[in-house]
Amino acid sequence: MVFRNFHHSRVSRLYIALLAVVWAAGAQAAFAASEVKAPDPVLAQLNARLKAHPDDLDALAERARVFDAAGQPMNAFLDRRKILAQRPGDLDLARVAAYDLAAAGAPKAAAVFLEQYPGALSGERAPNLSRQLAGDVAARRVRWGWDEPVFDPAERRHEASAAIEALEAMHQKDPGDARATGDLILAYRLADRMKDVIALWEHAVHRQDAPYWLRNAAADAYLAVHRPAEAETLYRSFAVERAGEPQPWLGLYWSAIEQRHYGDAEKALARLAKIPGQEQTAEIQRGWLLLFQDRTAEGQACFEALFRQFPGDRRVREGLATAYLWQGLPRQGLMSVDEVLARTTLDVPRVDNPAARISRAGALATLGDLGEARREADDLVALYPENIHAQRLRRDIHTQLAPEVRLEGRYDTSDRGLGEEWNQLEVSAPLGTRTRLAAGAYDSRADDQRYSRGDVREAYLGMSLRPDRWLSLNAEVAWDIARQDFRRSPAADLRAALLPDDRWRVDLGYARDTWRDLPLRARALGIDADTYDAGLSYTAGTRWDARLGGGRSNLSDGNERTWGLAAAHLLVRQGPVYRANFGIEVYTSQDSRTDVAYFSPARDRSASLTHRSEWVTANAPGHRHSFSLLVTAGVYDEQGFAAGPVGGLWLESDWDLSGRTALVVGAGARSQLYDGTRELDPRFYLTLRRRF
Amino acid sequence: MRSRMLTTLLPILVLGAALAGFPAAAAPLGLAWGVVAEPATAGALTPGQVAEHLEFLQAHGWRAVRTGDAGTGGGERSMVLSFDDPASALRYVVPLLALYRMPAVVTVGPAQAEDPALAPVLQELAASPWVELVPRVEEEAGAAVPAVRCGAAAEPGPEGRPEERLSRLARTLAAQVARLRELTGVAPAAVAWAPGTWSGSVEAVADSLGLKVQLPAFPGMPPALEPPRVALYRVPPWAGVWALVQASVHWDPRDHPVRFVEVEAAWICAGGDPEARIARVVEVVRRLGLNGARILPGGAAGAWFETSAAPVRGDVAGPLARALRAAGVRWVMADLPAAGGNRGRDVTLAADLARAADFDVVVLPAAAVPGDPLGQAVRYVRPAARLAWRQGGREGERAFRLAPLAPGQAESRGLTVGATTVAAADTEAERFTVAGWEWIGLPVELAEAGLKISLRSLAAFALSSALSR
Repeated sequence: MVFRNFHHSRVSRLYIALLAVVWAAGAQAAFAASEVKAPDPVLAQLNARLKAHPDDLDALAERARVFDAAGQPMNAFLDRRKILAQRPGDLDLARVAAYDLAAAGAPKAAAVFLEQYPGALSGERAPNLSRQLAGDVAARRVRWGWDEPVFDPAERRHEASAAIEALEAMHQKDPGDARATGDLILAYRLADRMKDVIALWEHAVHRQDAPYWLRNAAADAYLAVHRPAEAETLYRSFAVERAGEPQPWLGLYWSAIEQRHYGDAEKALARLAKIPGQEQTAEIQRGWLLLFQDRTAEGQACFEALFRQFPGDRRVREGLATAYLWQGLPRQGLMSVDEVLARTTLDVPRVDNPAARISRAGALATLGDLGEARREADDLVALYPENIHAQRLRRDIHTQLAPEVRLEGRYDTSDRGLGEEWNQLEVSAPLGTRTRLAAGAYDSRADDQRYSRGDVREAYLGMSLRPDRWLSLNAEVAWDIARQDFRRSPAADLRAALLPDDRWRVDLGYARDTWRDLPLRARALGIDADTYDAGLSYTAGTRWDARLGGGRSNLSDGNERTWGLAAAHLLVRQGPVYRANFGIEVYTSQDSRTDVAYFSPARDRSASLTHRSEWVTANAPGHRHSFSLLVTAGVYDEQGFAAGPVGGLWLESDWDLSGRTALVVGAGARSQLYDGTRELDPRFYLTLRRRF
Repeated sequence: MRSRMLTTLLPILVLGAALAGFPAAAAPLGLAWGVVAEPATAGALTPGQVAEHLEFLQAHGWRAVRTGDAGTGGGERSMVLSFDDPASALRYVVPLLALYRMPAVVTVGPAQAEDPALAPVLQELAASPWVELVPRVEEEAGAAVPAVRCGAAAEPGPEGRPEERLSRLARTLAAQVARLRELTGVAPAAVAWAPGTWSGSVEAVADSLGLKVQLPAFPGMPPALEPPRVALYRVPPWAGVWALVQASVHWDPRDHPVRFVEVEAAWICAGGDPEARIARVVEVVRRLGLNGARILPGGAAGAWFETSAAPVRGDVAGPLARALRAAGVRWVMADLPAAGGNRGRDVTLAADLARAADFDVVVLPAAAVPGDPLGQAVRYVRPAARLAWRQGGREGERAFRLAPLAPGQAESRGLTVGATTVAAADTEAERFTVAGWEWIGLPVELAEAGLKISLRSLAAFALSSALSR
């Protein structure tokens, strides 16, 4: 979820594209107008007159006026320059000629031109002219900054800094200078200084009749700082006025997504799709919308369909790569992101794709390569200090590499409905980027004092290691500190997970002299166990999964217990607020001894249907909350007893409180058969995790 | 044949060492603008656009230099500005140059030099302290473009022979130089070349006339050349300011990564109408949006281009390269055949292949090394050509590495996939892409087979301009 980083950069790109489109449209219109214009008879007359009398200053002045009126400022400047050559003291004319140059697109040249006429820069009208030229130069830098493609992020920052420096001085000198204020907002927007955009907008503009491009810049800033309602208001304010352009619709789309108003986002996309040339953009955004709605399977299908049609389109590739990542297919996603990066980045000259790099870092972190992910995140933040997605990525990765304290308390039932209260405290800290060391303690207390010898008081040391993408290792040593006379050896537990690809997983475990997970009555007898277990699972994205597992324990009283299980789950509903899956689970176990009370009877088996419903009530970076309802219903068959129905129901609430603190609270009950007798077992648990 | 081989070899041996290899120090950035007009007209830039370009360059520390300085390197962030239309340059550009205090070159083509109506314009330009007039070489009017041919041909007429063409160029250029000397009082020391007109042999002609600084123009991103050569980027009318910066670093997003189709020249003549087969290649390029093509033009046993060093099977390499170029292919590559043991014949083959078309990349045999006479022969004829070397190793000779495009850049790696099925080719290309190979291609027949299935089946080759239907 932390990799939803695209909208900001996409809004920027869109903004740039739009400026280019607006500019190109303007240029085209001007060009078309000039193409169809018939020769001006007045101009023809003046040309003829000046051909005969090249020094006719009146004719030159008249022609300059005609050129001005015809939108040919450079031609006007050239005529006025000729007049000035004859009348160098005409400072008003010098100022007009300078305006001509500025209008022609040469404000710097106009400033240099005026240096030849120092008197033109003094007097009543001079400040206006100087300000206009300075403003033109600054505004031009803002436009240069928006121009695409920019292959080196430093270049764009350079343009923004140069413009901001000039425009801040102008704004401070004359806060009422509307043009300087507007351009300064654009310059801040270019530099991604969104808080400055908002401050200036609210302080100096904040009008519904402000030019649409100013409202657009302010809306972008509100969106970037997660104030989508204010952004939406501003986008709506020019949606009618600019209905034929994509800005308002994409703005509304993003602000609707931020507010989780996905229906409104769909409506905005429908309007976008009606704009000629925007159909493909709308289709691509539809894929993103599905992803943002957590309908990742549909999002993937949407992008795969687009990929069949437009396999060379980088936006489609980026969407598909993200769909893979959000579907829990990190390797496939990483491969796709790597291909996008290979197609869109270069070392020299520096051509970058920060959005794809953020995705890549996320995939690397998922695959356990936190060192590389951290390097990438640090580099991105250094390159794009204002990019909140890069900052969030770095924060998330640093959080993953932070020490953690975990506190858990639960009330559960052990064998034959014997209630137990459990507490756990664990402190873990990273050792490098692939290893985490943990130390902790367990404490349990049985409700039934007859079995208090089975209470667990245990201290343990653990280590988890991810040496490579395909391998995960865990080891733990535990000491019994219960001061009972069991004389237990330290328990050891080794686990390995083989992860050959995104879908398959093989788990292998070996535990020696362990007691913690044995039934209470077995622990009370001082029994411990050596256990081998293995599991195989297949996960097809979020859509379905299946697993198969089995194991064998040799208990110290000579009992040998084997068990096996098979399970499969299918996602039937996936959406932004609600998701549901159904599953089936089959279990069987067998003991070699029939006379042990703690596993009685010696053979049992069960088959259950499971269901999980999850409601997501809040979902923002650093703040997520969901409720889950878990239901099981099945048949339990014990050797020697009639089979009967069993079931359970739990409610669970998961909170991500700040990106560093997580809280899980759950409660429920289970109806279980023990030797033919039905018992209702309550269950409650609470886990608090905090990273520092 | 022997005398022709000598005429090829001698200049190469004399000039080869100077011409081969990568520039030790890059020449200044070269920019060439065409007609400037107000009001705007089709294909022309407005004075405002030119002014914005110049202000942008100045604001970013670029310093315009004269060709004399450019010939010796010009220094960091130096540039040569060039304008190809004297009349509009005089009216709109010279006033701007004076205000910005930037020197520039105005190039004068043969027709412009002889046009009496332009004489006053040229005189005024010659009088400007900011303008340097230099001759510009253009495509010969009425020069015939050879069509694709399968099978041997009759000897070309005398007017088509390279020696004749060089003589005509010498005469025209001498007249242009004399005219400019007459106008300015000094002989020009630089010469501009319209796109596609520049080669090592024509440069030798210019050099003999005292034109030491070469200003070849390129419609796309210009290559990095070593002084006294300055590659000019012909600024298109739609160019924004960043196109200029892209030209300075030789980077255009459309040129990277490179996905190419590989065509054996013999395949063009393997049956049916050869023009139709060329059209099929172009269709593959269009459908996949490819920006490259690799031509295998035959070798000592039989060449598909005009050469005196091997039996000529037909004239395919040149027409095919031109058709691909016309279809918008940015990188047209050709493979030199493996060395056959006869050094003189191999060098002649290399030079004749380079002469057949304006190849962007010539892939040398694996045994060749930097500074090798084969590479020198190619670079003599096509000084802007980028050299590549076929690889041995696991990928075999279908793989190659390319010399860096510009100083500071790294070598690139490329290959034609070796898989024989569409699915395997796509997987192979994807794997090499992720491994950092930038140039990846596939044989034309495999491309056609894939396109019959779907565009998706060749996703690893498709570029952004690929067409699904």
